[in-house]
Amino acid sequence: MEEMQMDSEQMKERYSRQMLFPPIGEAGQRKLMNSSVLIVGMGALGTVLANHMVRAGVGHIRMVDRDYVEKSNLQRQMLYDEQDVINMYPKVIAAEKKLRSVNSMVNLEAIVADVTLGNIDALLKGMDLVLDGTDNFQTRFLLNDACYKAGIPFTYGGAVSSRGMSAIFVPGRTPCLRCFIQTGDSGGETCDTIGVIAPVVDIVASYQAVEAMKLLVGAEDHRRSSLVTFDIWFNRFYELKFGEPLPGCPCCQLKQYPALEWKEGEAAVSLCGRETVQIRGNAELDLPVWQERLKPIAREVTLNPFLLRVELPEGERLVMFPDGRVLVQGTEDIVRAKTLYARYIGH
Amino acid sequence: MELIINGQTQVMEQAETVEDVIRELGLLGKPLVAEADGTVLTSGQWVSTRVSPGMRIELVHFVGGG
Repeated sequence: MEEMQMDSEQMKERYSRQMLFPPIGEAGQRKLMNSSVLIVGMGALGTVLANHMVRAGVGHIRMVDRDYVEKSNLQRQMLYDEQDVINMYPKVIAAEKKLRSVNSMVNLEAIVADVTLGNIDALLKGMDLVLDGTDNFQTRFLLNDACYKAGIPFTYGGAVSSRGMSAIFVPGRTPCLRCFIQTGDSGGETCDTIGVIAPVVDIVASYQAVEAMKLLVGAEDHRRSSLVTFDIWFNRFYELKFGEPLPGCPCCQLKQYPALEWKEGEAAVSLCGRETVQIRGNAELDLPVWQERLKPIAREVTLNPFLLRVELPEGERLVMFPDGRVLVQGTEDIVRAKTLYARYIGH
Repeated sequence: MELIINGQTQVMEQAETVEDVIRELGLLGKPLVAEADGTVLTSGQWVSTRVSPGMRIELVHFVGGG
């Protein structure tokens, strides 16, 4: 009883401004504290999303990302700092460290991994909602299909240049992402080719975050049933109202979930515009062993508890993760990346 | 004829359908939703939706970055 009172006092102090907002109130705050969300991708959108969820007091926040912090991230990825770049921390590790100091009352889970067909079910387990912080449509279609199959709502967000958009997709209630688009070809327009300014990212992620809060507190009546789209530099705002789901939508109507069909997995993918190819190996990598093995031939090797960075004599760089993933940086050519992978890592 | 595309008046001489408009703008095959006079069109309807002078067409590009 005493403990509960204390809990209640702490809650009131920390979340008072949000609890004074009548649509949330004490009941809503308790719902947030009993909720679990998954944030996929901890780049520009993901860091803003995580910041909102942690400060709002969402009880359990699972974050997953495959990348590590680089200097070019600091312009907009608001949880990272220069020390994270020096430390070469994986993004989720750096984010977890920062967020723990923001709110020690929430349960944070940081997972360094690529989201794939192989792990999506485990990542979704126990989650009430998924927040999209990804930078590519391949992963978004996977999230869309997996969420609709599992009956978990999914908030989409995207930003590039000064343009952004956001929507919340709720299985059984709204159309899904595939009702709107069937292809993910962005025509080469990515943040890494045409850039992105930070304010648009914050706005998009905040639209996602507020829909997440509404959903988690059960404010179904106020759910935005449209796709918002805007260009904050050229001053345009447009709202595309949701209609009926697309007849014959392979995901939400035919329930075929194309992204969940097991294909012969592309073991190597070029990370668009990043001069990086990711190769998924078959075996886990014992990083200290690889450090010793590659030291004599590499220009430089750097090991931290999460990854091993190897500067190759050819000019490219390998970034190796314990789960078997290797980023080949300095090339977009998959063949070239596979050649280097075979030369230094083998199998 | 004059069309209002994403809020801007544009002259499209050749276009007869929404698909023609999208093709002329070089946007076929992109992740895009088209709305004509407030009605969302499926991509299958682009070819059968004829454009008329003054029609308001919204082409909403899905943004992939994050």
